[in-house]
Amino acid sequence: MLLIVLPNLQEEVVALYSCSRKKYREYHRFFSPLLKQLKRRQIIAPPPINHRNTYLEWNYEAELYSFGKRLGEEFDNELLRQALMQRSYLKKLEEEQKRVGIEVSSNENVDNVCMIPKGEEILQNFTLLYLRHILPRFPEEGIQSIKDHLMSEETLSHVCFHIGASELILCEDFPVEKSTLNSTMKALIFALHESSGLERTSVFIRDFILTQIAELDINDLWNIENPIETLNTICRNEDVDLPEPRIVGDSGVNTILALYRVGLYINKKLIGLGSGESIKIAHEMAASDALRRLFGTAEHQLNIPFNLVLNPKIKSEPNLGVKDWCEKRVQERIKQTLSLNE
Amino acid sequence: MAINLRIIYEERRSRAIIEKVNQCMTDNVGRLFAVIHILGKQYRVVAQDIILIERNWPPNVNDKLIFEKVLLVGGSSFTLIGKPVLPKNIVEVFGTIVHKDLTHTKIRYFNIPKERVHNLNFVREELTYIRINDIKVYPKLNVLENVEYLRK
Amino acid sequence: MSNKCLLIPSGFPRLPLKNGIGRVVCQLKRITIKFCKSSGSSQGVRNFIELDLLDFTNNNPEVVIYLKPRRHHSPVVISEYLNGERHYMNFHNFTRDNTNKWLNFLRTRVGIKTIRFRKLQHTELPSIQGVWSPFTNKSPELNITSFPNEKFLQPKHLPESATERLRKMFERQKLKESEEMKMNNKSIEVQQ
Repeated sequence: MLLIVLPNLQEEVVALYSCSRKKYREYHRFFSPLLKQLKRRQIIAPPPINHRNTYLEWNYEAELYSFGKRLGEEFDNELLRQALMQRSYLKKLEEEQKRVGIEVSSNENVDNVCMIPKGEEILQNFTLLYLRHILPRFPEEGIQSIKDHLMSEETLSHVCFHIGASELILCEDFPVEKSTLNSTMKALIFALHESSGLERTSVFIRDFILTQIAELDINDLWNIENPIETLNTICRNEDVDLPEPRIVGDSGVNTILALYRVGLYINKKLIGLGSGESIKIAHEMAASDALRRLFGTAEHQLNIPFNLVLNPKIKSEPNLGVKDWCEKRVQERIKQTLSLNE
Repeated sequence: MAINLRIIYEERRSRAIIEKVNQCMTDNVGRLFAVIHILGKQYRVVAQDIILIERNWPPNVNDKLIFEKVLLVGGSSFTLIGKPVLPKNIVEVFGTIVHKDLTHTKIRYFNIPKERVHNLNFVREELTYIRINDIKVYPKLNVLENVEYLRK
Repeated sequence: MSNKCLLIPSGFPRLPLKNGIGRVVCQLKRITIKFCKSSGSSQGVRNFIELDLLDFTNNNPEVVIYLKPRRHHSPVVISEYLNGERHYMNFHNFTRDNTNKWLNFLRTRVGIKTIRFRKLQHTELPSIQGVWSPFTNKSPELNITSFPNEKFLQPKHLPESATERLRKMFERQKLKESEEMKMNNKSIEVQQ
């Protein structure tokens, strides 16, 4: 058997029947054991990773320019540099300057410390506005939990890394920590706001940060502790009979793999269906299913549009809380928001 | 007489069903799925999912497309099945082309040992990544647009 | 898809950072072109740099291009992507058109190593109308009945028996006759 490696296939090695005429290039028999040994040594002692700016091919200005173009946004150059400069790096610079003997001029607007809280505010306002617009029926507690997820360190640092900002950040720590990425993201949002205005910033937030909900199940983000009681409070708010639970199906009743299906009925109409290992669990699942259908976030109902253009200057009022939730009030709120948007 | 009555009854029934389906499509439709036909293959598609299309396909990165060959659309309360394709004024499936790539190296090996015939080819086909943005349904069942009637 | 190539890892299609839902972001960050100023293997790359490079940069301002002329090297292109992948490609003896095509390919790529795709699709919602379970389409009467039950002992789908067909034909005939009688009575009344 010959080991044949063709020129452009660097990742794949293909074994073939040997040909009588040796048309293809051969590799020496020590080659594959050599590669295996190298890989083994790499795993034991991985090679040191250096920051990209230690390479010879690095032009910070060009990188900043293309960073803006990649996102389709125009950043003011100074603001962008300010947003990417962390306080830790500035301190390091100042210390070195002191050591060498250069006078240290204290500039306030060189690092991104002031930009972070302002960027956070812009982010928060717009995410709440957008979420409340898309999910008018979703209670306020749920919206807050979605917002918390979107503005968490993990999500923002993930977004920041995949935009390509992690190599442009000037900071002391390497590899760049999540907290640094998190704060830089907020600073970048503020820098964009100052350069291009609130409307463009809101479109940016919608396209990069709000889309992180896209492939998630929103209901997983908000854990309703007692679904049966919340359903009951909603029914009392609407002056409707409390839901009656009925067993709709069961199988394997006295076994380990028991399955119960419970349906909740209001005036003999099915509002929620749940299944579980015991009747209690199935009842709770049915209640949470009923709540999801009411709030419009069941799997077959939820269709979040990511292309809406909203006026970011509107201050959005919080949605109804779970305790006050009622169909009439929800409809009123929807009408109010429509009139506000007009 | 009975046959005429039956026809009238069936017409009324079909009209009622069409009205009901039209209504389903105007009220909160919710999530929809569609079956699209692209380049000879059919894909079941929901908003925000990814499709890969193999072989040469002209559209470039960043192009926004409307897929018109829709064989089936469905939601939680209704399904529309085309014969074989649904009319364009009812459904629209929007997509964006995100990337163009090449597949992994595929091996085409043809061998007839007795006749000592063998051919070996390595192929990398073009691959297109599409992101489906949206599926929209319009309540225009039984509404014929842009129809020209033939006159005798 | 068959797994003929056991040495190529397999996976499912994924896009980084939900690309395409909001904006389409070009995944290529920077390209480093290492080439020789005199040797023949970099002739194509040199021609590309002289004639087509500026067009490429003007059309794609989001990519940073570094040129490294190095003697006695065959031309090499290293592309870096937003998710951290570095892709190394040898452009030995490529023509100018070839470099154009391959650079375009590098630009439109995702930064994922070539894998064999097990499925050419990815959804988060495989079912909207509900996944089938043994309980779907079962009549809820089953919950109340205690077995053995005569009704559920019968076979579900029986073809129409001959007696049934005859009975239906007879009833249809009856309907026809009664309608004809009515028509006749009306015509008589009209005449009168």
